Amino acid sequence: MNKKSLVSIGFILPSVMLVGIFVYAFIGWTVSVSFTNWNTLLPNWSFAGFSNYSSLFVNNLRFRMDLINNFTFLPFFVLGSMVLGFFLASLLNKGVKFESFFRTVFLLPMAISLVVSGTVWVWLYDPTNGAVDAFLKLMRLPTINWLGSMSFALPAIIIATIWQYTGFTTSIYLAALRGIPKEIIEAAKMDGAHGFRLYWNIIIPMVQSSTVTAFVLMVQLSLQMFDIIWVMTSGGPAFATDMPAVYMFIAAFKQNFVAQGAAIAVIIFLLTLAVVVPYLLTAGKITEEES
Amino acid sequence: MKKIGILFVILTLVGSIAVVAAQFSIYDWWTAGGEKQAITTELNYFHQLYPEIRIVQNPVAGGAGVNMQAAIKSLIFAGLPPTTFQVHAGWEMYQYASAKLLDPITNLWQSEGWTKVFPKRIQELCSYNGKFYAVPMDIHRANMLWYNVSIFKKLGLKVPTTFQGLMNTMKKIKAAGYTPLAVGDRNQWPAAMVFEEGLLALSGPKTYDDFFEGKVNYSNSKVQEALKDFRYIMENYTNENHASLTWDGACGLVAKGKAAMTIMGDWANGYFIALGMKPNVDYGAIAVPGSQGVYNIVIDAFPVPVGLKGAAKDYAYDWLKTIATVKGQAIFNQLKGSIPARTDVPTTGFNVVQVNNMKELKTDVLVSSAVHGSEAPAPFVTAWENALTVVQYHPSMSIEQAVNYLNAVNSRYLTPQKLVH
Repeated sequence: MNKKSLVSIGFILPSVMLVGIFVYAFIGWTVSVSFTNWNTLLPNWSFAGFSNYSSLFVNNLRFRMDLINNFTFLPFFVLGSMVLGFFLASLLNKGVKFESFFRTVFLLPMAISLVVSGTVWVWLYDPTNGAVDAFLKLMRLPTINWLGSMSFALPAIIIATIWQYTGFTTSIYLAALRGIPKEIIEAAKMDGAHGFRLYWNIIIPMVQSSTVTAFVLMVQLSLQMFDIIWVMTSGGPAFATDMPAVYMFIAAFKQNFVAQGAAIAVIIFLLTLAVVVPYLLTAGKITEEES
Repeated sequence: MKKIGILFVILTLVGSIAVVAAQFSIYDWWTAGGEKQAITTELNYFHQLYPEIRIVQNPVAGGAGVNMQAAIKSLIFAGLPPTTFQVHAGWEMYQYASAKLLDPITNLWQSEGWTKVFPKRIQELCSYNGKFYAVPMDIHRANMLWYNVSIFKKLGLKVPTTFQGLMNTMKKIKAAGYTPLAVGDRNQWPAAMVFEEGLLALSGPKTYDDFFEGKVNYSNSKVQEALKDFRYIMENYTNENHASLTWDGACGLVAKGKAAMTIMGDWANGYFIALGMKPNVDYGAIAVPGSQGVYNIVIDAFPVPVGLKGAAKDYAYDWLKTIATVKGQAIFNQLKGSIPARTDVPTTGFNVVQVNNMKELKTDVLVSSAVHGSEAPAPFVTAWENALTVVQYHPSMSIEQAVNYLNAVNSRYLTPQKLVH
């Protein structure tokens, strides 16, 4: 081994070690805990087989509701924040007045902690003093008890999270739109592509790699959604907004079911993998094509 | 020169570790009006007695310790216990004691003579397997009903004396256009309290204890009656925004005259005191109708975690000695709304609700609250509260279906058991 490669290994080693310990070793630790009987405050390493997993899937109303909620939440949140983000980015890219002001406004929610924005949304949704219902009243529409209703609590949270994350997708798309060479757009216009056709045939395919990135990040976020739910509803009413991550927290830290909590964590991890692995495969392909 | 530099760095590091070690770090969940002032006053008193101790207070918001307990468990798992932390005596404390995460303090109890000044039932709840593990700071009463005096006067209502009477009163209040019962159950437990106190009022202390020991379930006619009333109250008599409020928000509705009553522990007393309201003038307080003569206790206590070394352990002991003094118990509880755990604290400085409770504690039958972790183990309490919200939010569920579902949850998480104190 020559000196140069030794130096490069020296530079990589610390981060490899950190990632190895704090990511992979902990994943391994969680997986192994999920197969033990550690459902008490103190560790119990006796082997439990798949019992922590079966207790989630057999006769467990809460976990069933969690999965249903999570997969109802996911498409609305992912599509909502991406479509809205793309729309806002296109507007900003057109060169509106005070563009940098609007860019800041759209990005601002990202900079606010989910706990803070969750609390504000709780006030907005309040059926007696909240702004949302006050607006509905003004429009002479029936008011809604948002967070207190089995059917509206989840949509309320979807709206809040879309608001929080749209700025993020906007910034991803804005960077991608800025990266499209002007000549291509002009050439397309000369060929008669305008409006919808220009977007559908030229621009959207050109930002495809950003779409994939945003999609994966949003899916991963929605599978691990915790803070805003905890602040707004704690999973209630009656599990209507409960998600696996909330259940994991309750099981491990409130009920002392550490192994069951680990099993939920492993399931969340596997669901995330199911999205990320195809992404890594396609993303590799797209960059190859682009280069 | 280089060596001196290295020595300097090492000394600074050691020094900073020493500074970190020599502090009194305390965790509590007292962040709402009343309770916040109470803990601040107590810590100031502690500082007066021990000015050399550096106090680091770590309040974690969330009533009943929903969030703080998670923080404490992670710290203990990581081997970094704080100097002391708030814990409810009873099952919540037993879980730490039985896992050997607390240091027994029997010697301290004996040398300070505490066995003579704290009531026997309180001593039992602070001990596990014959050893003491915590020192009580207060006694709260969970089975209390708070009402807005001017609404009661305006509607010409009498304070009910039975649970059925309470149901009738709520009906009248609703007809008059007010919210009968304010609830703030975003964290679930305040709704569970409506059931718990209803159960105590309707079935009495014996069945109440049997229920949480797993000897009786929802098939019992009294328990079923409590369940029916709970569902009816939650559906018909509560404020519309109950799911997004917390307990203090619900008390706020009573304070503002938007709701007539609320069922809450006497930390609500501290909340009303902090607002400058006067008992029997602005707000009234009684035991939940039907549960007169029974005191449903919740005890905030402080233990000594294992693994404290040197000065830290002395600090923990100093704190326990402070909160157990007559003055320490008086100044804290006057603001908190609760009553001292010591029975020899003079009643001066306490409001009429507290003086009354201090009197009743001596004669009442004592039970402890499951919602607040004293009466039943944590895994059950969470599952039980969750199950109650399921039947609460599915009014279409018949009573038979609800009973079957709830019984299944009870038998899954609550095995008949009796603790050794």
